[in-house]
Amino acid sequence: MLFNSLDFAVFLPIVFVLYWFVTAKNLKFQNLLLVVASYVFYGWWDWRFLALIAFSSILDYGIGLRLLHEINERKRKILLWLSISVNIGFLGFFKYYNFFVQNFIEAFSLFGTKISANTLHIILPVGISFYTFQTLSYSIDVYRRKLEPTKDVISFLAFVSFFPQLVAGPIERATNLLPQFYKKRQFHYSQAVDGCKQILWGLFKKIVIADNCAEYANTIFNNSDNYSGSTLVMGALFFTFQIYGDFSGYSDIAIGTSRLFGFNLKQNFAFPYFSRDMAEFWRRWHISLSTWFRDYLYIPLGGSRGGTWMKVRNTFIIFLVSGFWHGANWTFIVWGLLNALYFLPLLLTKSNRNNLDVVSENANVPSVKEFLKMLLTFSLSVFAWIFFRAENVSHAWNYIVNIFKDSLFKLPEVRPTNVIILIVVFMFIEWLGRTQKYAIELLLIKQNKVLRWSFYMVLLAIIFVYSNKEQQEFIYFQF
Amino acid sequence: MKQFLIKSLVFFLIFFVAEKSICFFIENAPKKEYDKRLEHLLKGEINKDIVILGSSRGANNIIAEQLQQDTNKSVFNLSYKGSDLIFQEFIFKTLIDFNNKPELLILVLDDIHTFKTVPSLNFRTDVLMPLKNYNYINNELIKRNDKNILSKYFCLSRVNRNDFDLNEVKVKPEDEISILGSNILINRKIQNLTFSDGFEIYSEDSEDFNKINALKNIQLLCKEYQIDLVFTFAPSYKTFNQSFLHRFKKLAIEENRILVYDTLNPIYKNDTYFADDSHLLKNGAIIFTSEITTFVNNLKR
Repeated sequence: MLFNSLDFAVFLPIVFVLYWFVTAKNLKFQNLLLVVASYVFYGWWDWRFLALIAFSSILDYGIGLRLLHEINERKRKILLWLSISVNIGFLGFFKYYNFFVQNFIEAFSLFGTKISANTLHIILPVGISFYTFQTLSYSIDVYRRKLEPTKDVISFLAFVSFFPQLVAGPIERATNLLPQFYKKRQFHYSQAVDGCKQILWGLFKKIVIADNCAEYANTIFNNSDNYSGSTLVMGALFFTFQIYGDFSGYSDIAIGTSRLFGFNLKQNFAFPYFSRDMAEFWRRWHISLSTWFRDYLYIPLGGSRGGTWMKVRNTFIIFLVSGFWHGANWTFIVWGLLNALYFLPLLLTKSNRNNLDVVSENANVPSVKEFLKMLLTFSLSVFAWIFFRAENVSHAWNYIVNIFKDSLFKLPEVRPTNVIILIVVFMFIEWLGRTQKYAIELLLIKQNKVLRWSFYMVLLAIIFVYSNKEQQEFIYFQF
Repeated sequence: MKQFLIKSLVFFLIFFVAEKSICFFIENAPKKEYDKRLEHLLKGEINKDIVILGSSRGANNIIAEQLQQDTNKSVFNLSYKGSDLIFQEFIFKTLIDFNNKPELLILVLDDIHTFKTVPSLNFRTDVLMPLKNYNYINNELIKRNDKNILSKYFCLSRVNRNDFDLNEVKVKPEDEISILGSNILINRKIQNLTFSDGFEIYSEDSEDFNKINALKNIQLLCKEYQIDLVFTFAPSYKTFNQSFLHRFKKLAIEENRILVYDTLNPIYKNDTYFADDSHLLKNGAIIFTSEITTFVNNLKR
């Protein structure tokens, strides 16, 4: 089920009413309702893959309980590796099997050996990369004795399949989300209103910004040989805003929906396009994934404790794995590599933690220096997104080569005024709200209700106008 | 909770009422349009003896006024440039639903492109969009996923971005249509035309099943309403493709007639009669229309 679909518009109020009016008195029933609702939400796409989530959940639940009673460290390690192998095994099979087979064949063909191997027609289960990481974090935390394993199977099933964040995150840690299923949730007016506002802003980002940008980004990327350099730059910019609007929009809807049910999810995006360097960008972009890799990969590898060589090695590993997590394509690996290269100078000069605060926190406009830093960081990320969006590495390469033709200084052939205006207004509102959890959290909060409600109605009206076509899938569903 | 529910309800009620003001733009949209043929159809104003359907080949190559005069029958050209068979089926259904049925339907085919998916022939959603104030049209747009179900209840879901522009739609001289719906070309589109006399075997591969189905439906409707149907092949600046005609005959019901332009007429090999390789200029359209007149007059006997 898509957040931007009519199905969800009907589903959400039904679950909300059942949750607060029918099952509210009994925590177990309330959690069970969330499990059922989550399975319906996921099964709406393809019910066959529910078995995969259920199996993964039961396995990690069982392993968690065994880890509780097991004191033999060797056996504990075996249990942990069983969880990791099964979860990564599923992910590897569904997401990477064909990629490895094809590359294996191509690698051998370079040496003149022809191998015939069959690739399979595999459907990628939606959200597998997200819930796999979520259950893995549980097993690892229990193994590390950072978390008491749950004995409540319903709560655990609800934690793994919690519908607002099931298919595209944020990737929640068991330490944050699981305990919320143990406690009775209270309805708070301010929390619910806040949730609605965040959903509204998420829908605006997705339907108005991302889907509009997608139309032009797709046209330009799909016909990149026919466009001037300046139009290709526009295409890369449109994709830059598309992916941000799409993914952060999803996160906003997920977090907002969770708040309607009394849950608090972690912030996943913190205005990354206002970052002053790439290290700051990565502290603000897809935070739940970055911190997951930091805690479960970077730190176990030695983090930045070792010498320079170890730091560099670990940084490259993190970015390459992060790129590969996004998809079975060399483009994602190059995208990861490129980001590692961007990060490297900051790491080597020990300036990767220079910008921990919010840009121009106490000013309305950035200083010239801050602005130039933001512009440079933004430009670097736009360049990297070309690899992320391209069909393959040679497409990305040709795209970049075509940008630097004479036509770079021509007026772009594609320049939709209405979309450009929408992006400017959107970024202006994002700038105003850059110190908050989401841009409109406190916007107009001190103004009178008429003005505030009018603003929300205008947002809703724009969403309606732009949503009158068939709904578009979220990009991150494919990951 | 009570406060939340009441405020949510009030918010949506105000929104629901306020958004109705957008209806002005929806109601105004048809007035801006130059081509009002579909609106006339919806208002039941196209009650004619002979109706022509097709793409630009129908619009450019047949002069409805000439046919009306020479056959003494009322004629209207409902051919839309760039339209495919599925769109033509929709127009025909609309004609029958809202108007008196015609005696004769002339369906102008697009030669080898008739059943193929080609970028130049589409379902002309853009023709329907300005008329979404009519529920019939809006329902069709919903059916085709160009509008969502909310457009039945919310003006904001029905309105389009173009509707907010209150200026009248400007029409290019080459797109002007006559009172009876034809779009006669005066100027050439391509200066150097070369007659293509290659022989091409038509392949049934990549035929669009939906377009074949549309043809079947048009034939069934004609049978149901006892409308004579004539399939027409208009002149092209190339050798006539017999192999496609052979394919087409397999799909045409026997009682329907097929009119192929006079392939031996040397005029159709003279580029001064063509605007481009598949559209006639006015002087060519006059000759082709007279061929149709003869055919129709013979039918009457």
